[in-house]
Amino acid sequence: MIKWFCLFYLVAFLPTGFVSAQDFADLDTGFDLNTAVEIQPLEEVDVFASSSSLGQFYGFVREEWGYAPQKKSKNWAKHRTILNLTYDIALGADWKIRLNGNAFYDFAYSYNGKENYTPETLKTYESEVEARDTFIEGAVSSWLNVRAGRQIIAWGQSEVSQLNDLANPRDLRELGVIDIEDARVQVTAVKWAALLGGSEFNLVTIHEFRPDKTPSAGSEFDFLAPLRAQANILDAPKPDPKIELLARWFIPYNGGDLAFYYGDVYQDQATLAFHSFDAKTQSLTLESNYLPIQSMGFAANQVWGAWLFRLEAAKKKGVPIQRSDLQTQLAQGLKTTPPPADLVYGADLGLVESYALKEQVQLALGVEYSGYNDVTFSFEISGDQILDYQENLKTKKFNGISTFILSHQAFNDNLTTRFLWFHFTDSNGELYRLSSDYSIMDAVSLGGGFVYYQPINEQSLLYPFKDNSRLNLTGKYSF
Amino acid sequence: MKSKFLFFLLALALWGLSPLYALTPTEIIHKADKLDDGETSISEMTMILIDSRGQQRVRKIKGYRKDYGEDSKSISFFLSPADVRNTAFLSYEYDDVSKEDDNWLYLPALRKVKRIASGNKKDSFMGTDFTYHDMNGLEVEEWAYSMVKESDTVNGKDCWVIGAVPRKEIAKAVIKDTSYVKRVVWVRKDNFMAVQAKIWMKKAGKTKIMKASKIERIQGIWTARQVEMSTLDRRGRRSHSTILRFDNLQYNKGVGDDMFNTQRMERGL
Repeated sequence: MIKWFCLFYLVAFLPTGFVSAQDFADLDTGFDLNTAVEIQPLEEVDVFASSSSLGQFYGFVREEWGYAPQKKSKNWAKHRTILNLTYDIALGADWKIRLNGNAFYDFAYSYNGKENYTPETLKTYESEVEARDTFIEGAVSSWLNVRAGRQIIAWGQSEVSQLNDLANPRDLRELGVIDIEDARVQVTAVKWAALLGGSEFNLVTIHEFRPDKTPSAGSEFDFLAPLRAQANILDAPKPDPKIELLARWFIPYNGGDLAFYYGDVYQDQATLAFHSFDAKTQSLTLESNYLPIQSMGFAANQVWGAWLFRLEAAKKKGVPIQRSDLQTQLAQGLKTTPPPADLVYGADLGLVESYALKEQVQLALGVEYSGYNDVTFSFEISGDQILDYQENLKTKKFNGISTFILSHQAFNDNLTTRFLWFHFTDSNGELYRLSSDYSIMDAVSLGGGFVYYQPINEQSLLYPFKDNSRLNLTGKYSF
Repeated sequence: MKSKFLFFLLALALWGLSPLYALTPTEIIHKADKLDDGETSISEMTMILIDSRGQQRVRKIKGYRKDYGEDSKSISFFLSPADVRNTAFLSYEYDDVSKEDDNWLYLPALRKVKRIASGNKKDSFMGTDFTYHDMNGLEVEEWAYSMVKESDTVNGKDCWVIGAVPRKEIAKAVIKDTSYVKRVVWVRKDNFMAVQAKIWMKKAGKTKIMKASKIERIQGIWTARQVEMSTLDRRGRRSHSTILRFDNLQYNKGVGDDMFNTQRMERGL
């Protein structure tokens, strides 16, 4: 169905861009000098407002509806009202303060009956109020800038994978549904930017630990659901206080750029560590942990006409990879370890090693073509390899994801359409996503689309979400 | 001897005046292309997009430009409407055609500076009736020029009317690159400004009409403070128009080199 849709879209909407000899056969047939054109009387347009006034207040209200037709119940997956407010305060010519907050409430849980959801699900998905970009920023000198506060630091070239883009955790609560611009989660950090000749050097210290926002237990996107059937999973304690450090050296040159990265950060994705085993109830308890990793990498862009080639690579140390042999270890450990008095085996007894620390190499190759009328095609392959691989890991030695993105703008950029296709090479799953956004007027836009999950088999990463495919509708008012 | 001397003086005088009276269409276009636009400029641009029903959309942009010899750097910050506010576009343009222009786009929703390919210059510039080629100027050398009319009046000013078609040996490539089949342009004789143009497009028999107005001398530099571009369908009906208005133009005012980098895009105005 999706392939037919793509074909239909290409034929129906993409304009022809080919030149034939007939197109310029009559070049010298003269020039008609009639230039009469009638533009209807214009509404008054304000004269240019000063951009240096003290405060600028702006934001948007967005309504999002989601309908999951394949679900047996709770088909109204979302009716969320989002309010996003920003206040920019100029402090002279070189400094400013930004205060940005975001809040939402999802009415779908009331429609479907709150009693049909776990308390964790309601806490995670029903409402949220959050301070987002809240920082002070300015020029210390003509070559040195600083930004301090909650912020997003978006580095790297990959469209989908996090190779060197390590500063911000991700909102993974609805896999494939959330736009990448909404997926990064702000952290409190200080970012220094020094201009060194034609290059830029950044040093970032992160002073707030925030993990990925993950699906709650019992929610429709809970990727730990299969594991929860075998073990209790405790929430993570905050990791030890540590200033996370990131650095980047960005070198632009004619036709391309290079960037080098270093990171000493906490991994934002939780690692499940052995917490205890209760021999009386035969229950295994795991605890989420956030572990430090070190990373070095580089990225490059090269433009060639309408083509843009992207390359990004990273090598990481201390990457925790979950092990697949917990039950085997447990059985062996119970045989060899003397039972404690209360029959509760704690982590100190070393009964089970639930993960192994590994070195990992990641690579992403991408190409983007924008030589076709108002259309951009983008294709990326990214993958990773665990270097000192051992067979008892849950993750395969090689993992990869392919992404194809088509963006099309029409009607004087008032209609923007984006089609994404993700292929998870390690688990034979596909994710398709289409979104169209039409600007009715400057302040109001309407959008629609779908997200479609297509697992190939029951081992697919996407299999638990096979009934979560959604039709989406949005309305946005910006002010 | 005396008559020979007078003839020599007359010849010398005519030779000296020849640029005014015997300019070829190509020379006129070259002069129009090389008009002084200052070493630096700061402008506030209001973009008004008008559809066939007369519905208006307004975008406001603040722009900075600086010349580096024959090359130039420019940066634009979008101020409104609200959904594109803080978007920034940085461009390094090179006179040497063998060099790719460098372009970056900062999207505030992503908080990311993205390098973009500059290959498709026939695309609409931000949904307007202007293409990237229109905004940056077509390559003068790629077109062959002819005088269509020695004299025509536009807004009370005497103009040459010059036709342009792609040079035959590269016509296919030029049409593919620009989407333009031929053009006619009105150039003012007193200041070499192109004040009106008609463009025939490859696509669906469309034409475009450009009109420059509110022409003033600002800090000694001839400037059109308003430029309109309309797209007409095969039957000559207006399908869309764009009006660019320039306010608070300042030429040759100190614009620092630190304005033209990706860090500045993120920082905004």
